[in-house]
Amino acid sequence: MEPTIMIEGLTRRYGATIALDQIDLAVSAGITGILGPNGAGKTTLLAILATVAEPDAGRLRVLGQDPRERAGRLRIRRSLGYLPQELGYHRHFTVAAFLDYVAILKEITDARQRHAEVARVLAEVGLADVAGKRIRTLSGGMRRRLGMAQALLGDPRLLVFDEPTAGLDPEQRLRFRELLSRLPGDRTVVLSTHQVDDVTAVCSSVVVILGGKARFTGTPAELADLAAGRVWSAQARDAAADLSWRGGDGSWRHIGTAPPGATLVKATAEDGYLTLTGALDGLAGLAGASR
Amino acid sequence: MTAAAGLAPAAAVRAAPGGARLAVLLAGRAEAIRLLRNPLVLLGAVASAALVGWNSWGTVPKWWVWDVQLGSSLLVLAATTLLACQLAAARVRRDGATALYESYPLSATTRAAAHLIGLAGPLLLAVVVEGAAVAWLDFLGPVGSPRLGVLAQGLLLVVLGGALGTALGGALPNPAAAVFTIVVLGVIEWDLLNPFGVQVAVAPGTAWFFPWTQPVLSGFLPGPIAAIPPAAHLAWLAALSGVAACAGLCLASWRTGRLAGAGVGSRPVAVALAACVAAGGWSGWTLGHPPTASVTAGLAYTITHPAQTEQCQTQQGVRYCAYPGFGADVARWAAVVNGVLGLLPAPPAARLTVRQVVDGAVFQTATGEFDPAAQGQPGQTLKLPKEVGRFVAAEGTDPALIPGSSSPPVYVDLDWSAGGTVGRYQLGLAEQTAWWVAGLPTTQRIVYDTTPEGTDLLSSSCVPVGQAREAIAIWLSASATPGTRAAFLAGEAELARLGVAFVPLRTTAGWVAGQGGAFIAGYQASLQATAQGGALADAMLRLPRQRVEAALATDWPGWLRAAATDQQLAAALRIPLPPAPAVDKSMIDPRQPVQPVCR
Repeated sequence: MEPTIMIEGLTRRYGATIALDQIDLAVSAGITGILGPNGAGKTTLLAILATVAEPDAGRLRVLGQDPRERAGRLRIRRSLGYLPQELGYHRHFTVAAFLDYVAILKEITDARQRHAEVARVLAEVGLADVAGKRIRTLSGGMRRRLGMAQALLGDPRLLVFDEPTAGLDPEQRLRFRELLSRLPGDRTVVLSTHQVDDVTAVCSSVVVILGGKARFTGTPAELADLAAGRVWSAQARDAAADLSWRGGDGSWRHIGTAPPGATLVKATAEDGYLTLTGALDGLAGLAGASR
Repeated sequence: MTAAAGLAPAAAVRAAPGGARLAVLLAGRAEAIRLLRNPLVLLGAVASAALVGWNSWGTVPKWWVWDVQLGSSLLVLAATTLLACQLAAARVRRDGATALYESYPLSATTRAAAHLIGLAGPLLLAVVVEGAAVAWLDFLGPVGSPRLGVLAQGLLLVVLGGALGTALGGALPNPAAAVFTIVVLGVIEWDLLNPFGVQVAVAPGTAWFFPWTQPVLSGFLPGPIAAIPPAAHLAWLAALSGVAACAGLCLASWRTGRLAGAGVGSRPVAVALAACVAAGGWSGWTLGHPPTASVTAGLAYTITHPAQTEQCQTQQGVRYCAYPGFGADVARWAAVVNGVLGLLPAPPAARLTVRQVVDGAVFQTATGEFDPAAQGQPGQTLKLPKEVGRFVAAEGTDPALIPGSSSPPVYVDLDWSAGGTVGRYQLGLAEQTAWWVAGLPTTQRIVYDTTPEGTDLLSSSCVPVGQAREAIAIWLSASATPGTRAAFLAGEAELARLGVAFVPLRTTAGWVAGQGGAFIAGYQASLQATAQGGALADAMLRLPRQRVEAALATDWPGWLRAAATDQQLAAALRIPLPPAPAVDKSMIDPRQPVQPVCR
């Protein structure tokens, strides 16, 4: 079965800055999380996947189409739901009117179906009660959910979410995870986030982008494995550790070499991510551990 | 977010292939509805309608003026539509949603097309406003009939405003751009529309670059002028709208870096743009050229040869001659004339002819000359020949100017009122009729009068000093209809408020000259009355009508002779002769020529 997204040597520059550098990637149905620090190139990659930006070089196929061709781009857009990182809203629109307008732009032309679809996505994101309210009256979290609702309109085969949980409270984040979990299995979801626990909670695969390059592709468990044998627990801070912090129970968690008297603990995806990002001096060599 | 076990089925809503065009139409409909509900657009519609009501209140509209003026009124709606469309077209950029909208199947170009389709909303509103205005003006009993091509120009102005706003929104998302554009266009248009304002320094040949100008003179002419051909102007506005629309589409494509977005290709836009530029070039070339000599010659002939142009009809022994299209006015005139003639103890010996003329005062310049060419506005390339000036100047001085007229002539011009000021218009015609009855001249000799304020124009001829027929003529005109009586008394009161008794505007030895009672309403015959005659007529109005009629009936032909005096008339009425208002000595200019007394 052909992957939903096939990327080979994808490169994108902004002037002298290389945002994406020779990225190779294959994304299949399921939920894929994109992790990376600020400026790593996540948003650029998602914008290209959403056909709103074009790469400078490389090959790209989304849903079997080449987004650089007009017809292919149109086919992709007809099966796409996109939530940008920075999303402005028409403050004077009501929630329902905005979604109805977006549904038209998504070519849902049958009025009855369109209204039903708007009602459906409003219910999915929990905004049915505010359908008649103007967007300017919504809280930041509600606006983010409205952004998700517009992406869900038309039941797209490919969903691209750029930091969808930013601004959501913990409960809403959990609701979002629940929403993603209830998507049909043949859908492809690509989301970027700074929340590693979001990735481990819902993503079947994870991609870590660093400096415009895809440094890791695998499962969340495999990401955690990158730090296996390097995470320790001790009662005191070890100055020699690459990174250490005190937990809520008073014990210190160290990443790096074993401090005296420390016990080895199970590494998490977050540990693996920290290991990979080079936040740990001396572990930068692991950055090439992408499979 | 809900906690349902799974997402509700939604596969059925997947857009069908080929639905893009329908989606554009639906998006256009959504934009149209939003524009229809836009407070700015609604405000513009109300203001346009109010302008029509305000300007037409109390008038008998002439359609060849008002079909143009409806367009001028719709300029307000066009301006607010421009602003609303700019806001709508720039909405995505202004709200920072560009990336999101770029991910939708409908491209920016197609969305711009939807915005243009959305102009149907303001257009519908303009149709409603214009339709209501047409119904209202028709209710007022207009002269002539509206030209559909000119009415369409008003609607096109709204479309042009919307297309400009859409294009502007594609280039500049800041609303200040639209406001600035409206202010600039508004200043130019206002200056072109306002004949008393400081004119924009544009040569007549280039004025057609501005999409709307109103020929100020058209209201004073006996029919539509061909100086600005409606078809060319319609094409000009359509071409401008088309260019603006194509610019909006191209800007949307250019901004997204894709000239050929889904739904709207570059080739149709390029073809449409070329067609609009060609149409604009042709219509602009046509508008930029002055009317042909035959057009101006035809119009000049119409003005200077009313006897050959007008259609005459006789009602109750009076002959009324009106320009084609003014037939409905005859009944209005007849009501006044019959009111005067009905007061006479005996019918007049001669037949009265009431003739419609173009009022020469329209062409009178500040220096007292009559120059129709001096009235040209920027954008109005109408330059009437000098013979028109000579003719209209002679209207007020030459009693035998137009063959087949009464002696003295009784004129009525192209204006009439339908509202509260109708009495003033009636009084103007009633005065001329009564002057004709009394054998007093309705034409004047023009003299220049030097006053403390400077040199001014004074129309003057013989003065019926102390003659009873003058007071009788004033009484007849004031008693013709309830409207003339009210206007006469109101005019008296107005003059008294101004500190001038009836009406010592200019004083010379032995007589006091005054304005005609019509007070600049209707044809400006500049009839003059003495203060003594005015005072006696005022006293007559306070008497029972039967008493005055009985007194006049005792020797009607005798009262019309110059020898019959105010003193005798007062005695016949059994009232003391009212004292004439004191002469303001400061108003006497010894250098004035002494006016002859009517014989």
